[in-house]
Amino acid sequence: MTAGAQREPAAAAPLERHELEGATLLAAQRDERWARRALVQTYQGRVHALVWRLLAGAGRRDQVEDLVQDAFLRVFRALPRFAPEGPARLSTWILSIATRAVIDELRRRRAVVMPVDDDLPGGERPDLHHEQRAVARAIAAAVASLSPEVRAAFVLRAYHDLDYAEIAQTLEVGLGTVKSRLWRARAALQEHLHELHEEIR
Amino acid sequence: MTTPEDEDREDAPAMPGRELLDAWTVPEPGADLTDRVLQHMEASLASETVVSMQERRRGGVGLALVGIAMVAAAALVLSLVQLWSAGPGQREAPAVAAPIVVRIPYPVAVPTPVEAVPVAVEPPTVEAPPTVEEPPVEAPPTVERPRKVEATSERPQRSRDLKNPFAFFGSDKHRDPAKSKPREPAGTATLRIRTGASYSPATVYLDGKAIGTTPIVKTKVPAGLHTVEWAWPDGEWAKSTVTLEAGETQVLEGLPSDLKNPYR
Repeated sequence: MTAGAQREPAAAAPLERHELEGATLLAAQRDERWARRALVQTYQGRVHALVWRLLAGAGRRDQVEDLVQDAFLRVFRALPRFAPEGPARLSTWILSIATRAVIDELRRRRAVVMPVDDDLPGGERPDLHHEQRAVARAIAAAVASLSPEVRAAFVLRAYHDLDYAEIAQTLEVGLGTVKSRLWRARAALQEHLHELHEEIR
Repeated sequence: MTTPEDEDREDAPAMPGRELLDAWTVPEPGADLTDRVLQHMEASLASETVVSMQERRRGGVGLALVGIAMVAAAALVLSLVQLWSAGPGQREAPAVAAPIVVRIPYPVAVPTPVEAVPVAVEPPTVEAPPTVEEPPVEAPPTVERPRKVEATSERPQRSRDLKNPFAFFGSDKHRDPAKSKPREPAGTATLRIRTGASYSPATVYLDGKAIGTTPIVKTKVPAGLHTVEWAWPDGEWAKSTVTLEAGETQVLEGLPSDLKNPYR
């Protein structure tokens, strides 16, 4: 792993950046059913991945999908007031709403996040290499050790390509707080991956 | 976007590389997730519409009651003003040739006799001498033909003191407004305010004034119309209007009905 690769993970992230077309968005804002469906289909993958990772990969499938439904319900309630000409991309705006929905859930019921055990956690596929699965478990354990706000900053940064300002807006905190949270997240990841490295050696 | 002053600092913990981060894969969502999201959304929005209509209807009934109360109060004030402004000579009822007094078997706030066109009235079926009164529990209303205006003397004695409009009510404490005590409050009711089961605590505003954070186990409020608002720290908000009777207890549960748009 090179230093450069360590410094710029988000830039290399293979993220889907497709946005809903403007006309479809306007139709969804007018409560047209076909447009609502198009909006859900466009963003449900990203929302699902966000929710799953914010639950540290330990949420049951029904828990994850319940939260996805809750997030989209919030999105559609607020959609008429989304300004397409505003500074936020629709995807960022939807992810921010979904993040808040998950943080609410994590604050309310921390039991939803269970320790990651040695069995295959929900997101791991049996065809993955053993070492890759071990790395995934280490990342999941590191994320599970973080507070909801810190893990949100990390997941939005590392897996959804949000920049610091967007994360600050999403979490309604200052830029300094975002940096400090990301610092803590990276430290936790480094620690867990270091332990893994020691085990493998 | 990488922020050089943070991630590139020498002492900054390094972010794992993309190949490591990508090892943490996400399972595919269910194939019917879109349908379930849309069904859930439509069902929730429909139930919110029903609740909203019920609240609006309750608000309409409350406004109607307030309107009726205001009209009744205005009528009472007008009648009192009429009584107050009448001179002593005018208080004697004019001698009418054949006044028809309709006596209603329960007290009426307006003491002036009702005049009617004599020719339009059927003669009384009972031959009643003017000094004889009908029993009070006869079928309403009893019509009699008094000989004099003394027919009005059946009114309570207190109504003679017309200089004081409060005397009409026959209560000593109302005879002198200076001595009257402040009116007792109409009554109090109890509100229990909480947050929906899946939401974090919210700040509660009762009639625009913050009264605490949910759950609010018990708060006493005057009977009547009140507005309760919930405000969550992340900008979500809910509002409910409730009309409470005296002695009533109601439980209100706040569910976010709105989201703050962080980009406006």
